[in-house]
Amino acid sequence: MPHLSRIKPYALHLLITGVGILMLYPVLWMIASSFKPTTEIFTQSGLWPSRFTLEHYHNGWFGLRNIEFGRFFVNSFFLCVIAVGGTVISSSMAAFAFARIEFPLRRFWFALMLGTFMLPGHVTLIPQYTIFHEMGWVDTFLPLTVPKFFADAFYVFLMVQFIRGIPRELDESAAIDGCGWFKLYIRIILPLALPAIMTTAIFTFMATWDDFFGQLIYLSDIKKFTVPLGLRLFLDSTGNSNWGAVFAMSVLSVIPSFIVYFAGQKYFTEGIATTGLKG
Amino acid sequence: MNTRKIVSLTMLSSFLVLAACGGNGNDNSNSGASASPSAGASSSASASQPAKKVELRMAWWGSEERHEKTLKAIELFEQNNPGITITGEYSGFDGYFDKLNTQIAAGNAPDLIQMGGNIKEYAGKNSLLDLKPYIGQTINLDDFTPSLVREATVDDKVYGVTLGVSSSALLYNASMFNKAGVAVPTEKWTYDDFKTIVQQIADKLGDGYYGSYDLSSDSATLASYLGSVGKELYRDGAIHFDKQDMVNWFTLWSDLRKSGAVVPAETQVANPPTAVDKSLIVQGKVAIQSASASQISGFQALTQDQLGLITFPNGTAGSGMVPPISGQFITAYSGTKHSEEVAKFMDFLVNDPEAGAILGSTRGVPPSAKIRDSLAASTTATDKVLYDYISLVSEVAPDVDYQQFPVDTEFTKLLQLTSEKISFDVASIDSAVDEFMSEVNKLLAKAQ
Repeated sequence: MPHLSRIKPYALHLLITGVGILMLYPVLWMIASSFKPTTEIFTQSGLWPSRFTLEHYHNGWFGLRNIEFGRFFVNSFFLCVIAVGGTVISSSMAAFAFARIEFPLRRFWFALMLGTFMLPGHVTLIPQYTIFHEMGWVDTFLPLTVPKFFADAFYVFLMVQFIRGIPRELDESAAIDGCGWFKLYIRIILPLALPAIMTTAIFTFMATWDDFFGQLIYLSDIKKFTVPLGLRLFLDSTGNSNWGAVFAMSVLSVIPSFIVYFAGQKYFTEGIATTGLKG
Repeated sequence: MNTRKIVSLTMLSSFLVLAACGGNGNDNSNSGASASPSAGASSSASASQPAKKVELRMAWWGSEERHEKTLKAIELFEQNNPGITITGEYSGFDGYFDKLNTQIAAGNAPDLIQMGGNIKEYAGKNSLLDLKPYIGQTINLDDFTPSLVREATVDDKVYGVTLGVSSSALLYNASMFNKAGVAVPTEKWTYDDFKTIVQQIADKLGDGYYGSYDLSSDSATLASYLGSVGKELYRDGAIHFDKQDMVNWFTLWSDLRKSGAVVPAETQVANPPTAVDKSLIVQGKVAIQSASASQISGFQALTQDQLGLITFPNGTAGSGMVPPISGQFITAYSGTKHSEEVAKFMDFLVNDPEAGAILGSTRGVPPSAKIRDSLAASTTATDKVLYDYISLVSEVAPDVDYQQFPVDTEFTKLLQLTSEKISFDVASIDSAVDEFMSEVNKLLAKAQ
């Protein structure tokens, strides 16, 4: 019996490690394939390449005419920073208003806002495209950035839930000290809602970084292409694809997501736990 | 106190980052605008002073080799035609048609659009321009097989120009023919010649060597066989062959299998001809298999033996070859404002020798016979075999409007199943064909 209790934690660890490796396998396979000679990618099942090659990284980065892959990274980062900033500022302001300020028809507007995120994206796609086309915004970054400054229903909802959990007594004492609505928002609510804000920021970053369809629809000039569009330039499912370059550039494109996620992980889990959101 | 400091710091820094990147973004768009094709066009246009300046957009999908070659061809066209600039809007295949649909719905589609087999769907939606007024004027299709034009024709209107073709073929191992001392067949050969030749090869080379794969399960070979005896696999919602034709077909292969001339059932299943790395042609053990002609380069790359392409044998009614089919088309958006220039560029893509040399076979074998001939002189030996073969098929194939079986995948599966039932001796030819005929009719009913 004492043996068993000593073995137990090890066994559990072993199990968790095993399952973890199983889930990581596709990622490991991608990383391994990016270093394999093209002829081995789909013929050799083992992870370890028989010959290490960096040619895929070189071909992927410099292989496209008139443009380097680095440009796509710059464009993607630019979109992400604007999207994160815009979403955090506008969504937190809207959330603060819904959670704290009494205004006419507040419940109605809140329900209406929730209604917008029940609407599937495909329904609004073509009307939205038509509007942006009429405004002359197609093939610029504007359709992908400006809407971010008009709050996103999902993040507003998430932050409203969080702000409702902050004691109102804090508001009252701040008001006694002479805080107006704006100061209350900046000084009291924002600092305390940090976990929810970080969650919003990370979600927005990931969504923008991985977004393929929106960027595909609105961007046509290769100089404005982002990482997801750049990756697809190597892929032609009806003909031949340069798989090596796809894997190499995919490996590079995963790195920023990794860094952002791990850097913000502490706040991220806290935000999810306290908003009662099941991720 | 402490948290407040941190928060104000993060706020501050995020605003700074925002501001910095906002500035960056402006710089980007400014420099992007000054380097954009419109600016380049105006400078080159003012140099040669043409009457008007035309900007076209062209969309295509592909991988980076196709992007590279197409951009080069566009540059050449722009040099030859000052005043016209073409902006490429290229991507991978994923999402290509989703984007196109959105653009069409908003009236913002590119002037030139690469299309695949779904050309008729878009023609039906009135999204494509009728090119008929330009054919014979701006667009010269004299070097095209008529069937290629028909493939892009709906209700007497022509909606596209074929960019690349391919064709079904018999792929043979010429080195094995040499070893067996058997002459390589010509396009005039018959099914009797075929039987003699494969038997000779199998006999001369001995155990483990065969004259041909068992092609009774191959729908392309069957379609050509039916054509060669004056029947048709499919036309206008019905089959145009009867039970006796299928019995003859399976008997032909059954006899060859029994005499050891074609690959036995077990070997065929273990080494399917469709898998390049398993094909016995590549290993020099089987002399003939069916393939899509353009596959020859993939097969040839894996073997030292010399490979070649030949048309399917002739029957009592002559050749049953299906004419080369279009892989891809270039089409024009019905909302284009510059149809004359669009037509000019289409003609350039398929008829200009320099463009042909740049594009090579990135979208399949060039459809124009003249371009093929000029390319064949300078290209690799394998590509030359391919180009010559496509020219040969264009000549010998009867000029019929071939119609593909509507539920093609299921038909192929059914044929394979029937063939294996017979080759593994599970059913007699007669009962297997009976079942085949009733299943084919069920498939047709389903497709209606």
